[in-house]
Amino acid sequence: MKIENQKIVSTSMHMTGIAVIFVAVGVGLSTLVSIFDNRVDFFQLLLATLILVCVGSVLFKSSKLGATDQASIFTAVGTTWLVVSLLGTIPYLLAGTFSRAGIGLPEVFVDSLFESVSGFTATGSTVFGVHNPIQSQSSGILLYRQLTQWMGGMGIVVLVVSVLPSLRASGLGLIDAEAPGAGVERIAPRVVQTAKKFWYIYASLTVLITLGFFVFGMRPFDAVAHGLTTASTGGFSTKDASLGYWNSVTIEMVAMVGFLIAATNFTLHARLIEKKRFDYVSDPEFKSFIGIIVLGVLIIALLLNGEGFSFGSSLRNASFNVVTLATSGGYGNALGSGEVGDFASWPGSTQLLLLFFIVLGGCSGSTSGGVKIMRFRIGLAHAYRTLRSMRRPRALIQARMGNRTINDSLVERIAGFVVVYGMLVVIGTFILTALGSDLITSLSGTFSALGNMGPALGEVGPTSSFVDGFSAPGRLVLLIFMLIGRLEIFPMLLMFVLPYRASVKMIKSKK
Amino acid sequence: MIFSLFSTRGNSQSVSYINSPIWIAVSRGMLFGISAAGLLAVLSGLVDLTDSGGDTAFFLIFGTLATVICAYLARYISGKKLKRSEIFLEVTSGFLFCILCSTLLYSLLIEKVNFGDAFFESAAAFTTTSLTVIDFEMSGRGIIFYRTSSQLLGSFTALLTAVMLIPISQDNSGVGTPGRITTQEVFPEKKKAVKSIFLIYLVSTLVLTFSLLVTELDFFDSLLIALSAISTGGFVRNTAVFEDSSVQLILIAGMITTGTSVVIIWRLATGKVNSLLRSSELITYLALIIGATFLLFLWADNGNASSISKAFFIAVSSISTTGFHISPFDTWTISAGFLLLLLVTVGPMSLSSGGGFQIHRLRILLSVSVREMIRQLHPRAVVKIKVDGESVAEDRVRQVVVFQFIFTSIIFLTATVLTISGVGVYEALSSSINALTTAGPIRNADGLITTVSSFSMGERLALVPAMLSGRLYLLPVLISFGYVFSESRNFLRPRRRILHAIRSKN
Repeated sequence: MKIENQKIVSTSMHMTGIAVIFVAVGVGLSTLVSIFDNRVDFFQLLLATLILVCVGSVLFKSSKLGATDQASIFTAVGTTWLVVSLLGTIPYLLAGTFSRAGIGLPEVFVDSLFESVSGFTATGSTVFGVHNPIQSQSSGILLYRQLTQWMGGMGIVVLVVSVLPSLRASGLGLIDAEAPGAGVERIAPRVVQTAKKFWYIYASLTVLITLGFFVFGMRPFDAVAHGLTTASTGGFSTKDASLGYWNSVTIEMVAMVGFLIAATNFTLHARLIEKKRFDYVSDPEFKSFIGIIVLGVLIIALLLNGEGFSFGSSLRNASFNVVTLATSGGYGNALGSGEVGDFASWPGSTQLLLLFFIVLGGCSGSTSGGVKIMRFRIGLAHAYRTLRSMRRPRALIQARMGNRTINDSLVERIAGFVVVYGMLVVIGTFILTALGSDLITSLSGTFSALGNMGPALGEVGPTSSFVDGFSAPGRLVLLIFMLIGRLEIFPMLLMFVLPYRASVKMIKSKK
Repeated sequence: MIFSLFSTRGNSQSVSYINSPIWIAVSRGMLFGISAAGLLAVLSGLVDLTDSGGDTAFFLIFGTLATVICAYLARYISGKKLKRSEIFLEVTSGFLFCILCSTLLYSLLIEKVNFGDAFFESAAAFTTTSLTVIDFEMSGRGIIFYRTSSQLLGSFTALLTAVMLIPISQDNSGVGTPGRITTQEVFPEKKKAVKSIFLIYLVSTLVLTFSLLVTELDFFDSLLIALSAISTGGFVRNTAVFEDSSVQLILIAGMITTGTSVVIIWRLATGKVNSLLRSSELITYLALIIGATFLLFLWADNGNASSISKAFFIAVSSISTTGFHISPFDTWTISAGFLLLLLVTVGPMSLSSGGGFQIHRLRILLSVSVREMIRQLHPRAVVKIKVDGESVAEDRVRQVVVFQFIFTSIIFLTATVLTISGVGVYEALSSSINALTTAGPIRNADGLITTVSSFSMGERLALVPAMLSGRLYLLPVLISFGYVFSESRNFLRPRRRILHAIRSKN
């Protein structure tokens, strides 16, 4: 580690410092809210704010930006997410959110970390449940929980880049390492402007969704809380039954529209706002996204109807759950376990189709998780091209998406991603089954964690807690997968390359 | 009548669409399939003579008629050289007609068997999937021999297809061969390949049969079990024989051999013993077996010698996709079930009789993932995929990636169809994986075997496409269907038909 002008030259430390300060701002807001909630958890949140501000300031002030090669970028992005997730547990630990009779400090820490990671990665899986209801928590903690999703939804690194003009062009690499999909398109000449525009769109969307919830019957606090987690396609709710608490079609529709907008490529929104260009209909990924959702809704509605659900109920529940899973939203609309909207109790065929949506995810460049429609379409085009070229070995056949020819290097990148993704699923499922969870719960849980989805199948459906389906070590495995999935695998897997190189260098120099 | 329409002596020069290669391929496949089933029936008729001989006459008449008719009709088939995609169609249709012919035989010969059951049984036999719906307890030796030997025919044809037609087998990267020797170098001519593979099958079946005679099994049972083991079919009349530890050990050796690449076996047979140690695919295969055995033993409740043998047997039976099954351990963990599903999915070495994804493809995928990580760090780097120190051509890598994509899609689609008809999610996934990898049998979450007889007719039929595609390594079936689809589409579009006619004329 180099030191210049009494500052440590480390991109990771510098970025982490700012990110922690942003988290402190979030906790600070929650502290303010707790004043209006009879000051429950006020002092704990205030203390957490101070700790985070101190840690963030120390990290930021004592460091300066260093190298921005690929390895450094991965280390920086990975470290930022790890440290933020770890420090994000402080409010929960101080407020004793997960302390309950019969469990020790290690499990309390695992639960806090799980909730923190699930929040920042906008996954939406929760360890709250019947044993520890959400509705028994203070407003401050609930708002903090929602804010973690909001900050993580667009991306902590994007947020950091938007306030760090000194990063210049390398900022795009940082955003790229964090953003979902295969690469980020600049929507402004400067990277900082691009990052800021993404955040403006995101904030505006949050406000619109919040207004929608408010107009259709939510309390202002709940509207804001759900606005934050809808725009981030996170899925945390302030109620144990999630949106099922309101049992309102209009609220579900607001959530669905919000999810669909948030799961669409933000570049398309930017073009609409800035250039008044309505590129949605000409975008092959968006068209496929909508097409697949409509098809999925129809099939699942028909299957549910065939199982004795009324047509209206089938359509409502199918559309809500397909949209919430396809966009990696994660809200539930069931009134309770085993009720109509609880897809974990639906017929097997619908569960498998929903699993497909859990894997697929939304559009690239959006806040959603999963493999992404673009990768799926390119995968299909590539498979079609390969089969055709096997029939006609001498023909030059290109993989295409819409009118565009797909570059072979992009195809290879996507192939590499899908292969690693598949291997991680196998590894995750294997570990989770070895830790005692059943196969469907483990498989869907791994997919859900990697795709930052939220609920899964089996014992961790939309009305269940992850405490019911997984042991503490299992939850620890899942939170690692959430982080890997949020950063689209590679930054998290390769974040140790730089420290490894440095240690090898150090050992050699000592010799 | 139909054959005369595309005979070479007829109107080969005229532009007639029925003279298309598609029909030539289908008719050749049909004749091959029916005559193969016929020959097998004749052989079974002769075997039936060692029993009561009650079915001998039927077998001989059925077999002779089928073979003679096919031999006669073969005169009318064009001798035109077909392209690879057309040969794929020929092989696929050959398999289908063989299955249909056997279906007819089962329907006529076994009482109270409906067409659907006969079709499923026949498909399971030729695709070497260890699933059965017909009770052969009261059947004569002839029909049992037919059921068992049809597995060998299916396995032999599939392996020949793999060696001679599937691109990955022709790779110049030392696929499945030690010491960087290509498949073409080991089997330079097609005829030699057929002879060599036939010899391997014959010798290994005989060795295994005589080895099993050492135990308390009689010759016929030994022969049947050997045929099932060598073909990876997994069909047996009585699974109780597997509880004998000496039978277990002999079969373990047999199944490990069937899961080994024929190229390695051939080189071993020709005295190149060193080649065994240099094949990293073989080492991976053995390591997987040892690792899986260790884990299964670890998860077993009682850690004694019989548990080791049992764990070894279950692991080898799964990875070789043979599908021999014995009673599970008293405590069956969920992870053991998942491990077995993983093993059948991975499957044995490439160019072996087994199905599944196969280890060579898996190694390519691992290399793809490593390359992607390197590329993430060095975006402009040119990184070659290497297996056994040799570069793998980029189009081969693409095919493997596509294979993985299609493999997963078929599992998902089959499982979805099964769940729609009411099968549970776990059983549906397990069934579709076992069908596609041609492994069988289907285990439920407790490790117990779920009989396919409990499935409805529709559910069983839903498994057949997966079984057929799995046995033919997916690509031939997909390319065949793609070919038929595009030709049919062209046929329905007059403009394309005219263009096609002009091209054919030129």
